[in-house]
Amino acid sequence: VESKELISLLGKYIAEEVATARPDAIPGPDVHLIESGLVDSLGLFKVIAFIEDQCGAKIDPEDIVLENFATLGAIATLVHRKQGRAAA
Amino acid sequence: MKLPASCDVAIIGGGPAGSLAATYLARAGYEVALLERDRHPRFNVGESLIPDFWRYCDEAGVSAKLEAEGFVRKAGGTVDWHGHTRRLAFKDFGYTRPALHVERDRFDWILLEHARASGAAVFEQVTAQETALGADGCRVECLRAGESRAQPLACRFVVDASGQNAVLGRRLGLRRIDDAFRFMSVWGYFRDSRYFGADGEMHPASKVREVPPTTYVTSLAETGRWGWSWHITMRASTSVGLVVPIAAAKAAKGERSWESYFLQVCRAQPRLAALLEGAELVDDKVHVIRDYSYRSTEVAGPGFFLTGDAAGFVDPIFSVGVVLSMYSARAAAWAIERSLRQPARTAEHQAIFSAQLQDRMELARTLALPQYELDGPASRQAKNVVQFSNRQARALLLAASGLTARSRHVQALLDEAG
Repeated sequence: VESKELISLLGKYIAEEVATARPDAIPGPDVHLIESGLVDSLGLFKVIAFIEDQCGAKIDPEDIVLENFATLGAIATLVHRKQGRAAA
Repeated sequence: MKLPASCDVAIIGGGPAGSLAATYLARAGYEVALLERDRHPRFNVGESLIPDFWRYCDEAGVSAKLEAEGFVRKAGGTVDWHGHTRRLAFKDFGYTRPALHVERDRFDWILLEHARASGAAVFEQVTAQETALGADGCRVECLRAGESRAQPLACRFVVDASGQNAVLGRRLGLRRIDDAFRFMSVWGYFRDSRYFGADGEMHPASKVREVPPTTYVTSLAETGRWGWSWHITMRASTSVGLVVPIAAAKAAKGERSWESYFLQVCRAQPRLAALLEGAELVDDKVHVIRDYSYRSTEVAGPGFFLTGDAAGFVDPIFSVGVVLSMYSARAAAWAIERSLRQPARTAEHQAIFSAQLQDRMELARTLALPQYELDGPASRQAKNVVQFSNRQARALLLAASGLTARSRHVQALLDEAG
């Protein structure tokens, strides 16, 4: 999955399946997912499952830090890195 | 109902953690057997719930049943700490759903029956005798009350939700008493106690529907800087408890009964005594528990997960116990679902569950400890949770920590989390 496609698919998934209150718009790549309340501690588990299942990225416990999950852009970077490692 | 010979997941214990884990997994289509030692409704303590618990009940589909029960809705907290009175109202933090004071026999029963209705096989008066745990499958020996022979139940995973019994934690030698919290608790239930409303005024028990109560906490000067009491108004009774250092309590109690010690300490706190004036201690009975603060060196391993109090418990001061239990149930169900679908990734999913749960327990510990090292590995765990909290949750954390003198370092923790 390309970064752009991931950002759009995951943004839609977060808006529809993860956020406790459905947002007016699908979040863009730089929206702060935690501050905006779109992703909470439970939503985080769903996001991890989504990127593992859809992108084949394997997430390790130490990957779960704010820098990697603050925005869709950050998640795409993480996924890219994990996919690269998997391929190497 | 007959015990099955096998299932996907066996859950030991039918408190909130066990019932919610069973519900999540049953709703996801897995075969779950929940083993409950008692018959519900059964007694349990921990009656104060902060509004965060609704999130987990929504996910389980049980919120409407809880709303219909009509538990007491609380407005917030009133705290007298070393001479200062402070108040906190949940509505000031943007919460739209109520915090509750619940009779735990009813609350836990609703959750257990919901697990059953969701498709989990629930067995009451059945104890998990022996457990054989392994990455390739587990076996639990199940003994029904009144029977002499246990029946084997084969499963992929065992979830320990046995509360303070911590069945697996004790068997596996994972449970460690937290030396920073050598406390005991003595508590009882009163009829006709007054309570503090959000307006700071005292109200009679009969007004609890019209004027929402607050949870009232007061420091106990005679126990040094540590001890405190709770006062939680429910529909027909009020839970009142003392949390005191074990050594101080034993010395102060002397030859008296715990009932006598309890009533004397309650009466010695002017504002608590005013609330209890004319109130009657139900059955003249108090409950005593000690060394309830412990942690587990591991919360998951080959074939097993520890949840709720079976994983660990810190201190009741901020009413986070039930919410933490529910979180652990949701996180365990997530890891189990993913591991049943991708067995080769089980260890990784267990590692994520463990790291997330241990971080949260560390945050709970941070909140409850007056002295806390802000630069150790433990504080990094707490910081990690704070970083994943939104503005509303952080503001509440800060306000809650400011209610007592026990958590001045929480401001520093929030600052460092950025």
